[in-house]
Amino acid sequence: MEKAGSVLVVGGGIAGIQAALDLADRGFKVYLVEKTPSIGGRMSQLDKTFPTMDCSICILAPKMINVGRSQNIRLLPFSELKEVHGEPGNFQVRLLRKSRFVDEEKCTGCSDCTEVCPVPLPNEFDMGLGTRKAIYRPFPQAVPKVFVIDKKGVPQCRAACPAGVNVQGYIALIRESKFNEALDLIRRDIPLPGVCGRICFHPCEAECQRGKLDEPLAINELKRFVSEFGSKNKGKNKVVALPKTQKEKIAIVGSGPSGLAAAHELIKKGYMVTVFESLPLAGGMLRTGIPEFRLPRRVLDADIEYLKDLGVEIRTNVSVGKDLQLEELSKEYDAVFIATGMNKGKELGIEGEELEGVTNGIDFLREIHLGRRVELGDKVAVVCVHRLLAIDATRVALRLEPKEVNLIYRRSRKRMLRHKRLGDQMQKEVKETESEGAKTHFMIWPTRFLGKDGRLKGIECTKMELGEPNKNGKRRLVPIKGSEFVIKADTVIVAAGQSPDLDLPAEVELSEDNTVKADPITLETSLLGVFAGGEVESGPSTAITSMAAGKRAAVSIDRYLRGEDLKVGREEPIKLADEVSKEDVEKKARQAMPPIPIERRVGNFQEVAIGFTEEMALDEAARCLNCGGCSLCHECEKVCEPEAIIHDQKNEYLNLNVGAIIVATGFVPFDPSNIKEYGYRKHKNVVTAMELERLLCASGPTEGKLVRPSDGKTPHKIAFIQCVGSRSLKDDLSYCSSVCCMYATKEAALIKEHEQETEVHIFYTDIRAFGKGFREFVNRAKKEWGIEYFRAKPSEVREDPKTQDLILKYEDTLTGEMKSLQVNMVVLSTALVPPLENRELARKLGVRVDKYGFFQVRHPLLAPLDATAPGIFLCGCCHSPQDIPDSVAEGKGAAARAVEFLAGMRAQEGTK
Amino acid sequence: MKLALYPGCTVQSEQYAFEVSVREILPEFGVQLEELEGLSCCGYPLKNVSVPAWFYMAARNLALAEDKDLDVLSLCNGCNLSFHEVKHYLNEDSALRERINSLLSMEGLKYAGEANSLHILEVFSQVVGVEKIQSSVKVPLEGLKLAAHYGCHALRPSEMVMIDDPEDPHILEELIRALGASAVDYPERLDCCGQGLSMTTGKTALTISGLKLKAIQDQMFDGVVTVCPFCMKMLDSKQRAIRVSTEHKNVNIPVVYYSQLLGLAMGMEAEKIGLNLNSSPVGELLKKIGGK
Repeated sequence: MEKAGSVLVVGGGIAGIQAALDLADRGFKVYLVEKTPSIGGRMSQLDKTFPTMDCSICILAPKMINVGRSQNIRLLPFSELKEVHGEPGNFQVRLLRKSRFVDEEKCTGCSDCTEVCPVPLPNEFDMGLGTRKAIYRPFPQAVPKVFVIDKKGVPQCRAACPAGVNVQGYIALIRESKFNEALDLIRRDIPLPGVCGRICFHPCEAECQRGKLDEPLAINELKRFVSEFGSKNKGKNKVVALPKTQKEKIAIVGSGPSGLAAAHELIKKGYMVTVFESLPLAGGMLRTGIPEFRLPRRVLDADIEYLKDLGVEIRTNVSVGKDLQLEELSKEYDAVFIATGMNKGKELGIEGEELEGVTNGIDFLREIHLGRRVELGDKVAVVCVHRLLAIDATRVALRLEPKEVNLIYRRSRKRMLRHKRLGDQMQKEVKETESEGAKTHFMIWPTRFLGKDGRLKGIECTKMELGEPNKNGKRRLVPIKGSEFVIKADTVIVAAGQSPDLDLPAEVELSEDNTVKADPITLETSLLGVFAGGEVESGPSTAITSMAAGKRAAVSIDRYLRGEDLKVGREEPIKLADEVSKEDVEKKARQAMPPIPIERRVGNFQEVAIGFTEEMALDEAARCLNCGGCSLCHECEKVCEPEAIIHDQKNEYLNLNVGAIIVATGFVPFDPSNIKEYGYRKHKNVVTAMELERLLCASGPTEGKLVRPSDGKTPHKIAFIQCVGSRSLKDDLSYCSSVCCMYATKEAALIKEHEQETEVHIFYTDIRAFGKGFREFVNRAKKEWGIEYFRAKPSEVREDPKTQDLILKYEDTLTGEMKSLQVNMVVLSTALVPPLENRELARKLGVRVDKYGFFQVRHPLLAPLDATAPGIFLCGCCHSPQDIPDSVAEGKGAAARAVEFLAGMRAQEGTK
Repeated sequence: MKLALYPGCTVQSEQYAFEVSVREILPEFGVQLEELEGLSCCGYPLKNVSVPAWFYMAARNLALAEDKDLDVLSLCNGCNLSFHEVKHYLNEDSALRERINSLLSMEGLKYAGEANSLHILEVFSQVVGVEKIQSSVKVPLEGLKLAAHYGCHALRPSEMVMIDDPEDPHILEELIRALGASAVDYPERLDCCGQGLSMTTGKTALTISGLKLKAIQDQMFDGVVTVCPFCMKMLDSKQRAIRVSTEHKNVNIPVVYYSQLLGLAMGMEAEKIGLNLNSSPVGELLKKIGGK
């Protein structure tokens, strides 16, 4: 079989670049695969090269540009080799092209996006010392110059939100003082940011990863802050009605959270949306159920106003089922969404419930909130079955200033305080209810309501106790016989929960609990074109969960009207962001909102909690850990002129046919964190040589100013420890990394160049200056630059807690003396170790690696650049640690070997 | 849970407080301490005289525990190491094991390698558990800043004992924090107590002890917590000797066993946990706890 005239080069460091260039020059087609977004490899991170002290990027960049410009090289950055099949001369390879989320063809590399990106993340190119944005280019000379977006998955906060509100996104925008943009971003997901900022039970905060470090972010308060900011600046940002791009009309029955959320989604899709509300005012349970001190009505009004401004028609005082039949709606509208909620209060079912003076919690709250007059007696009792309803009713009743309000609960106080969803919030609620003046009574229960002439006079109660354990070991509450007593009352509010109040045709199927039956995923009812969601379908729920249902219904309705499948792809699992490192994050307490004092609460419905100031909001937003990487705030999209941002870009696969493969996967610097005696990561001023390289480099995080990490001061005394991670019998790291003696000398010389007075000490095992000009370089370092060399391996590095200086303990092995040395900064000359992925890659290629994970050459003298299988060649640090000149030579050598192997196939695919 | 208590010579001859406090505390956590009859020296002092004698002595103690189907709690870091080392050699070398067993058979004993030797830190952190210790606290030691001192053989040789990372251990700190006190890192944390040199160059040993104690004192720690009777001997009992014969004239700081500290946090009387037997100024520690 004829061989293919193309070569795959794996790894875009200096060795791979050189091999690719040489092959391209010889007329072969080259595919250069690089797993990071840019070629350049480790050499691009270096400040200077030894022993010539050339600027590293100045030597490298022209070669990188040539790769980019060569007609014979197809550059495949941000890609990985997944599969290799076939035979030498004819390999079929499959590559994964990871999505950049930026169109490589369109992006011009102008960097407008990175300027507006609000998310800073650790900069890998600077070894994590500085930050880069979530949309970034690894370094200015990157090839290709195309940007890339770092998406780490859906952050926990957003995943926890039933309605999928983009928490990390609006927090990132708040951090940048882009409050209007933050509000718009919230409104991409929900139409009621003001309402949510007040009353959401914020499951996002429970999942906030910051909680594992100190405290979760005050997410809800931040949302409240931006919605307040929005209403204050309403005049400046006029909402314009959305264009109606669809011909279909949709009716939504009920203007609660689910109805409004569905209306919002559908109006965004260009439908005509009409919401029917039986009461005089829109808002559903948000208006009739939630006390004003929790949710000021101006906030609710503003959120509803926004929807009206978008073009949603809301028709109040129209009761579907009474004023208008569902059949009529179905005729006039193309789809109907039933979102009528649950607004009938449940009863206790005991004697005397019909007496005048006995009212239901749901009714009581509704009448109050619709501004109707409610007569309360002097002695009010609230019978608590549903705790939250009871607390709301009690706190509202207190504000009407009766003589006393008694809250009666069947179980113990402890049981009342224990709330699965609300957690500590429940304790706070009960405490506040009591501090506002309510008397709480536990372990008692009404047996009947007592009346005279049809009017309530009192409640007969019995005391309760825990009964014998049943067969499951649970102890139920039982009344204590003969313990009956009477509480005087002229008003009783029964807070026993709620049920749907339906008036639907018989064709709409109901569940056993009287809720509307609907498909759990699509929310379709038994009637075609009629959907149901929110509490009327799910039973008692929360505002945010109901909004989520509304959103789901909107997707179904849109698909239904477009004639698409309603189910496909609805339940796709999301990819959660991995846990972020909190190692270098300083602890900082969350901003707290002070409640208004008790004296100012009774007699009015003023809000209890006061919102964040702008300063507090900025401080709080700065605590976010940016778990998801890109926050999906869409700011980059707004400024990208060529419209190159593709947030939903998917990974792609590419199949190629190549004749030979050159492996040039390079090395990774050894991570010294596990050599605990040197205190890397524990002591801030212990850095690795690669980190120092970035600190010395003019394009580095400090723009070439050599400062130590702990305090940003210039170090005057620096020590290098050689052979960290190599030449050690521990953990089988016995080989010499071959470049450390020289790079340490080079870095020492650079330090002297930066600051001549700085003392530099190098602790070595033995100086291996084996190459041409190397020994001379070390001699110059000693004589001309005054760098001190000690033959010693320090046994430990400890930190002076006051100065954060470091003390090295060592034995001078030339004199046998035990000594110690105090320095401002320690540099660990870390070994070159093979990338972990080498083993997996070797398995795919069918070649061998040595015990360390370096690729094995076929014979060190006879075939020094051949892998252990034909057609596969090696160059650079992938098979043994080496310096840049050697890597360049090997790149050229490996290219020559590939040419030999494919002789005759030249210019088959490439051009000469 | 039952364990055979092996106090070791140092504890029995001069560090009674350790044994007293351990005997007082472990039963509170449901760990019963059993007595083994006929225990001998752990063998370690013979290591440089006659290795077979060392093996025999150590194996004999382990065989006694094995006979009763018990693991051994060795209070002394040295004894614990001795048992671990001997186990290591005997388990690897069947000829050696046979030879030792033929000697043991004179008493009707047999070494099969089934009994393990446990360190007190293992008992507290693994058998009892940090959570249980935390919930046993009646007098939280809040406000106390304590320096943890492990002692070399709790951690080394690392291949042999491995209770924790020898370069960066944290078990003792965790146990201290469980009592409400703070246990922060300090540069001299893993420094030697000096005891290893006390037989040969006594003054050097004292200087090493003094250096560590002074550094701890200078960093405003309220006290030192250890788990090794040898370290205790140096750090607690030799403070006066350090003041007299080294340059560290001001060394004066409370030093306690972890078991004693735990006893204090559990609200036990000082005498019950042998605090009257400590030579360092433990009264200061008591004052600070009582003052709250």
